[in-house]
Amino acid sequence: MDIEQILAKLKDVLHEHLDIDVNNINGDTRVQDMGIDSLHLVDLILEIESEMGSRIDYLNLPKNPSLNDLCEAIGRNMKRD
Amino acid sequence: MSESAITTPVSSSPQSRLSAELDIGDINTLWLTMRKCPGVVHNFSLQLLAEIHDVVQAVKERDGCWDHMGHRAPVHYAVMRSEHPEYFNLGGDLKHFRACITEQDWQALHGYSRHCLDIMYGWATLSSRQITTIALVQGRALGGGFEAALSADFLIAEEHSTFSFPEIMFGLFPSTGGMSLLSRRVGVHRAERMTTDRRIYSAPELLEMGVIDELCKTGHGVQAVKRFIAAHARRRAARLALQRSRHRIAPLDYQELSTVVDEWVEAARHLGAEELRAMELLIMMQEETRHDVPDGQAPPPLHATDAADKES
Repeated sequence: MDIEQILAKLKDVLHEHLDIDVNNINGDTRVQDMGIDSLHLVDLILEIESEMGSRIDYLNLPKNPSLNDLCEAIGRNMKRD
Repeated sequence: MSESAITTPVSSSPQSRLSAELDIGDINTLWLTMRKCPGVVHNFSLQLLAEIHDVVQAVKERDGCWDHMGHRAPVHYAVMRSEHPEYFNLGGDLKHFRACITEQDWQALHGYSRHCLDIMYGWATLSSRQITTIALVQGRALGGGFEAALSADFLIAEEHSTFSFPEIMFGLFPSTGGMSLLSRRVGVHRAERMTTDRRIYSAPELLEMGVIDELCKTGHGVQAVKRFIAAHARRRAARLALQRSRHRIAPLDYQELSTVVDEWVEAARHLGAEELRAMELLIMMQEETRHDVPDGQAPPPLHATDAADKES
């Protein structure tokens, strides 16, 4: 799965589980700009893991990551699987 | 205005997590600062707990006094703060929780939680003597960090501060008096909702709700506490009488607090896979906060603030 595919999946999760309007967001959008606190990233990651069937064991995210940052972290973990 | 101030690490270890500083004057204020240690998660580690315990015990054993330059000085106010630029405290040591759960060492888990309770209870009941306790929050207070802040007589926060009880995310709940402490400020039903709603509360919101006593601008926390103490001290005898009255009317019930600890451990024994996974993710996030933060971003040290006060 490439970064674009992961981003599309991430948008699905954001829309379905966090009720976020994904029409106005892109890879550069930062999580806090979507109203997601770092603490609530846990919920988001749990949903992503459930949707993608892949564990995220290594985050190493910057503060207030963008969706691209998240996609890259997910991609790194998928490669490790 | 203080005549002298001595900063002493509470432990002799260079990695001491707590420093104590006594401002001596007409009114003596003991400042306890949770230190920002590089590479260390800013949570209630066993070491920090031990150091806070030692301070609370020392003050109690000396009947409300602190050893200062060879003699005992009465402590009138005790302030708990953090020098971490982002966190008052991240709360319980989740890594320790997970290790206890993995090893099924329920005794160790119970011991940790009971230790937290005893320290909180000791701090919260310091004011039954002649001391008024204050929590100064200049960042984020999570879980046990929120409870620690609530356990003071007065809670003063900088306006950017945020507070939350995230325990429900991994199937647990605050175990160090969260319900009892919040109930005293907002009532039991609202307290229950606040410990389970996963919300992150802003300092202005909590001021409106009556959880926080005073709000100040970012970077002005220490001055705000000093002003608060100066005003409070003007009618101190009357305020102390009311403080004692408040403790008589709404005492912390140690038996109830102990029951919560027992039930918390019981709940931990039955966490499901998804809850443990949520705990793991929170541990990962706690671990990521260990990255060094430039000193310039930390709240100003007490003496720097003193200088600012003199200039103003």
